Amino acid sequence: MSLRTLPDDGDRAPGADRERFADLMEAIARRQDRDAFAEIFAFYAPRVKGYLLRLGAGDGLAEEIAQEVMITVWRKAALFDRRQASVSTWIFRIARNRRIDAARRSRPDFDPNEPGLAPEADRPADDQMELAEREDLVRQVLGELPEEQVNLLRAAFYDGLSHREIAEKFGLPLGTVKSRIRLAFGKMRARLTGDV
Amino acid sequence: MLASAQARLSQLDLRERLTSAYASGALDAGLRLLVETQACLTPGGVEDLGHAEALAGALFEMEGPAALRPDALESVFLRIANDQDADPRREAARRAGAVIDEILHLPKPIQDAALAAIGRGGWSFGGPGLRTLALDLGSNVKAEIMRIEPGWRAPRHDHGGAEFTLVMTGAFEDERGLYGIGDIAVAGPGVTHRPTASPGAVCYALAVTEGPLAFTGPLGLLQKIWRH
Repeated sequence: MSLRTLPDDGDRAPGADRERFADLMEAIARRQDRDAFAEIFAFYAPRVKGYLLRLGAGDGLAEEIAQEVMITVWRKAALFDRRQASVSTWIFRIARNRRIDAARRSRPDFDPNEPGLAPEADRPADDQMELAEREDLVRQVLGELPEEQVNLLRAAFYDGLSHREIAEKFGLPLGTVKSRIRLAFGKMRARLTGDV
Repeated sequence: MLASAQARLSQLDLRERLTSAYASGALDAGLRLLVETQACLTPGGVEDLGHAEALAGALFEMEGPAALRPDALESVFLRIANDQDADPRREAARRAGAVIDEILHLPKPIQDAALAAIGRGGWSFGGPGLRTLALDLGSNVKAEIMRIEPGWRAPRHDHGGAEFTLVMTGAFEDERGLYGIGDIAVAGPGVTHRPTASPGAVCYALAVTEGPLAFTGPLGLLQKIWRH
């Protein structure tokens, strides 16, 4: 269970690792810094693999996709923008985009125009501030929500289960699943958009 | 826009299900494109997708690590060194497409795929007032852009699998209702319909249809979305 519990921020400065990882990504982008990449790899590659294994991929496939995802991280490092997303969110986006495509091997190569990784240049500066804050707020809200709501959000937004599958898994009526997810995501949205 | 409150609620429910499936990575390339395009057409849509992705990213950070092979890092460096990263065909298509005005008025996520498709062979004639542009997303679902002139209609058709049609410009109407910008019409097996573009503006729509290859297993989602 310890694997899936919320991180204990304790006396560690919140977001300290996030700053560090963002620095590393910039070192990869600017200088093709292999040491920086090795550090990113050490933290994220096993998590990408863990994610794929839990989705039901075999060990060989999970290993292969995890390596491919990390190659994309190296290649697209220049597209990472710390004002817009944490390294976790950015790398998860790559893993997620790769998930079905790579699993089915419908394409031997990567999409050279990896969707969703490029920064949105036309965003006003104020928005970019908000986007950086968003990462902190998301973790804060996850810490405050009742455990059941966190589990429902995880099942829908991370595990990718349909509402019907969630209803079966949690033994809840479908309508209840829908309304609770709407409530929990609504709380998060309200906080992130400053409507609270 | 859809008229009744019931229809609006089902659009909201559909958007919520697609948003979480998108954030989690459960969607195929065709539906990903549809969701990204819809976000651009819906007030607050892009922001909401961003929230969902940040949430998924935070949950990913808590994922339990699984050890890679001891030589994994080395092997990744080796593959990076041997890497070729060029797709001249796509670049050429992008340049050629830069003058295509109508495409450039569509939401951003759809433009690259549309320009690449035009570079590859372009529009097919689908009947009077109707042209279609097949997209190559490396996807096992069929994704195409339909361009229907006002008052003209697509052929009546049935569905082998689920079909999601997102209105990007103009509007269309079928036997079940009126769909405006940002709305998604969902049709499945047994549903026969004949979309007709509403008067006033050319209707551009993105249609994502389940192909002959049905998805199965934990990685397939299109059917799941459809089933409820």
